[in-house]
Amino acid sequence: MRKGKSENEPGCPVAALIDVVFLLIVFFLVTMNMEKEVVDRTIELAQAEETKPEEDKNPHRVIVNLREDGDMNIANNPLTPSQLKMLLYNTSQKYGNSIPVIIRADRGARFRQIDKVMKVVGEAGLYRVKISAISNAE
Amino acid sequence: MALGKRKGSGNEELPVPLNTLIDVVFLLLVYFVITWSAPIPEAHLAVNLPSPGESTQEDPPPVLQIEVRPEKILVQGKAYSIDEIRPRLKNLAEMQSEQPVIVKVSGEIKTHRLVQVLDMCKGLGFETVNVMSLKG
Repeated sequence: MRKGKSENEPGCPVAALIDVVFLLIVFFLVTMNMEKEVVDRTIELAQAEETKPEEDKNPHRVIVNLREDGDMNIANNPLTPSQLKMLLYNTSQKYGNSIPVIIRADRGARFRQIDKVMKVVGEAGLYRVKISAISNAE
Repeated sequence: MALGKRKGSGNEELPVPLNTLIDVVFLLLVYFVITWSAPIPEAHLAVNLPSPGESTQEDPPPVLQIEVRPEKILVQGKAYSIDEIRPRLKNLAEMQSEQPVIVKVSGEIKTHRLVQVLDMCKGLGFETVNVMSLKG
């Protein structure tokens, strides 16, 4: 152990340290999941072994979360079927009827609950429906 | 200009408080490290509804019908277990993968079973897969 400081002792490279820390912050900012608030983290999705993850992300797509007990929400805002129908109808009027609707159904939810959402989607004039699952395909 | 110094109008120089800056930057870093989570890869299985402009053909092409019931799965009316339908569907996909598939699902079926069947159809190369409710 050395005592005291000599003139040749290397100092802490503060500028380089700040550079690295800023790079890390930029990395986290860029990769931060901005959709964290629009998906319901209480939902446990089913596993898809063969279907690859979705790459085309339509900015106007509607994500409907469907819990195991049948409760539905969009961006964690609970909705009744009539409210969902109104929202989807307004979306189709604004952006056209080819907007995809993604149903994030819990793996334990029954099909009759998914069917209820699909019927509402059809009544609102939309027809592109997708069921979300966690992809295990490479 | 040297780091940490600012040119003023006169001779006075204001030092940048580096310690405070580093503190703030580290706090930001800690925040992002704690709140960051790896994105979960989500697959989206298309189960398109009939589009409004879609005309009804007088002579529709033959469809492959799969019924998903609580106790069994029927392919073209013949019952299979979930493990048995894969080879059957594979044979059908090799013969005619452009054939539309209609999956009729009982209301009691859970999502993970539906996803299993849809995923299998998509993985075997069926291009059009539609889902509808099984009556009765």
